[in-house]
Amino acid sequence: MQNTKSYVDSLFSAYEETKDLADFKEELTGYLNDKIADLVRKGLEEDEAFKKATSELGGVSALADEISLKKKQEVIGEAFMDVKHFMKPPRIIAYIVCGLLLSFSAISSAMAFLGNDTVPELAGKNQDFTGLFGVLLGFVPLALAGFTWLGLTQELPALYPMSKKRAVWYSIGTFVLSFGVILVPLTYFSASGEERAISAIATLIPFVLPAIGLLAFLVLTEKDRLKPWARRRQEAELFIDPVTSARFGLFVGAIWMSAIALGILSGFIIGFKFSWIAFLFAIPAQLCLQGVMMKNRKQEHQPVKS
Amino acid sequence: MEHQLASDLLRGHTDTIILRLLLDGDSYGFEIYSKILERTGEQHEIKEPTLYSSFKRLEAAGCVASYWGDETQGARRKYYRITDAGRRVFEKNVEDWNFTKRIMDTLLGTEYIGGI
Repeated sequence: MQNTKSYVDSLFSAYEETKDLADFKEELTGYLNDKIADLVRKGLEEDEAFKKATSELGGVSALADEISLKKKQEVIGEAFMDVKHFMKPPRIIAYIVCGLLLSFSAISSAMAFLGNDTVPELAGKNQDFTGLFGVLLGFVPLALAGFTWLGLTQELPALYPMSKKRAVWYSIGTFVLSFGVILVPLTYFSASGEERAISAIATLIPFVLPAIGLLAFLVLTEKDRLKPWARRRQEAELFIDPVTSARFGLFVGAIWMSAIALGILSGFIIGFKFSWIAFLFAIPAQLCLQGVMMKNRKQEHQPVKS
Repeated sequence: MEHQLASDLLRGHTDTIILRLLLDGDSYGFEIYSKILERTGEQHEIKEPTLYSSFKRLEAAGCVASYWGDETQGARRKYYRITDAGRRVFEKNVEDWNFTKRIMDTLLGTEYIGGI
């Protein structure tokens, strides 16, 4: 009765093999063997018995759907719901401290900004923003660096934590980058005269550029921190063939390159105050792309129901 | 006159029927299938998807527990055993059924039992 096993295998060939499914297949094989043996006892030829026993099995694939769906939900549950498991008290406190630092800087910078109006001698338009960015400069880079470190060294159900030393480099990069980024408007608003735009942009050189270099180096030398089960899952789920994933990579690259180009271009044309809006368009564009490609993939790989 | 079995109606009670059969002792898929066939005088043949989705449902609800048999040749059989929770569910379902049956008899019968 070897062929019942291969028959059952063929019935579920469209499904990823999980422990639940393997169990169910074995159970079903046993069932078929019993049924065929019974029909043979009742006088049927083995071929006839096999045909009769398997004739009503088609709907069983609906059960496989259920099994793999359940498995999917379990995995998703593991991946997204049970973060608590990896949260130790010191880490929670550190997250809260960074969060407080960030909200404190938001509130006090807003106060600094609004407070300026009440002081007549500082009411000049150019002065308005210096308080705001000055306060941000003091707190935001620190908070962001903290979040970076915490986020990267955070173990997740699907991800191993990054080594603490490497995460420190990322934090330094983040700190310098955000420091430099905030320094640009600060310089712009605190300086005066024709040259202030140039001197503002010049501050990018000592801070933002090295930071981008450092972060780029870190990202490019990054190792895959996915846990084995998550990697298997990703390979099976997201983009099964390398061609699709390469295509996806190219499209994403194109989207962000054009966003950056558009950002810089509109910065010179309309002003840098609004040019960041270009990036806001890149995010939904990437999500749409991902959605379209996943949808295509689903259609290609839809299991055939009998 | 040929009687027609209301399969839909019966399908809604598959879980209870299986629990009842398991009260007699642990059993596996094909045995349950044959018992149902046998007990109904071959009037009702349970479909495999119905049978196995019922097993899955019952197991998820904790009404039955399963274990592998130790068949040495061929595929192993998975045996199902009714749990205490399963017994309670069974009793409750039987009560509910008796109640439903009374209501149906009342509604379908020619005489009003409850009276107007």
